[in-house]
Amino acid sequence: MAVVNDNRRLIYKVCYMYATDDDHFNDLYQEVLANIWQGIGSFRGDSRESTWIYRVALNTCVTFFRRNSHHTTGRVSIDNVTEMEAPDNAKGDMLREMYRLIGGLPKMDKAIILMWLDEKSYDEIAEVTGLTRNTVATRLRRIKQKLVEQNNK
Amino acid sequence: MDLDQLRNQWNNIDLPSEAAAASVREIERKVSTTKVTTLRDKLYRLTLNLVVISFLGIATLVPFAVESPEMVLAAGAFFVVMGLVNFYRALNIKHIDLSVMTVKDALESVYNVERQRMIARIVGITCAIPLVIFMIMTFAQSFGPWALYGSLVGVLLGGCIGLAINHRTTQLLREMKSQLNP
Repeated sequence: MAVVNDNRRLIYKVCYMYATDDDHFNDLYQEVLANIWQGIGSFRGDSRESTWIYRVALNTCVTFFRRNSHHTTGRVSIDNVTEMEAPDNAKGDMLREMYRLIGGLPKMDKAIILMWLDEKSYDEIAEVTGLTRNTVATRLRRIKQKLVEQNNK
Repeated sequence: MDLDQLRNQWNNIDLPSEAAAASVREIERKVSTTKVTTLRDKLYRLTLNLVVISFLGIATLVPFAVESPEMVLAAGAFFVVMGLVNFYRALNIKHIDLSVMTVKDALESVYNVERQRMIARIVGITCAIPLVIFMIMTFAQSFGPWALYGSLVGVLLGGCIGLAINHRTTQLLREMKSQLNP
């Protein structure tokens, strides 16, 4: 699975942001890989490979609703997922804090901010999410505002 | 918090500890070496099974055809309706392709599938109640009062299970809708 090897970090970050605990993470990761495996034949190369992987990973995570867990919008227990390695300094602390704040966003907002953080263009974000470019810009502005406000609390 | 500055750091984040990385590798190995079915495929298969069960249900009515043709007709019609409803659901599930849809379309499709499931359940329960009453009366006339007691217990149990499942589905639909319209 060369495509997975090349994009492992991307897939991991997306699943990490949507998981509430390690079991959930493992379920998501497996489901994303299964969808990539199934859908690889339909990838015609009309977008970048990473954009296609984002599409599959985000669609999988966003539509993965667990029946047995408590259904609360934006509920996250990101501390229950094995932490990503970030530099052990002030910047690293801020990154971890950002992860926590992003983890509390609604699913679509999470998708938008994730792609923005990964330096995807507004057009690419619009293409993957199905929103218009203007809507992406507006929502991104609101998301950033919300994150800064929550950080300052 | 300067988000633009943090954005530059985003790709400095590394994958986690060896233990977690090993677990990830194990999942990759499993997916690449065994046939792992997606949730969509499992749901599609489950729904197709319901279609088969619905039509097989008609076959179970054959022994009663002579004794109670009206009951067989009513129950047969119920099974055909439910079979068709579930077949329609199965087709919609099959059309979900997460590798080509946008995130918004994927969310909407899953929401529609879940909503159709709820509608199927409501249609089923609405049609089933008068049918079950009719069947209980028919069985009680043919097989005595113990058939009546057994049928009533079955109806109560089925009703409780149905209500519990419906409650979970309603919560799930509410959550999906909130993700579509935050």
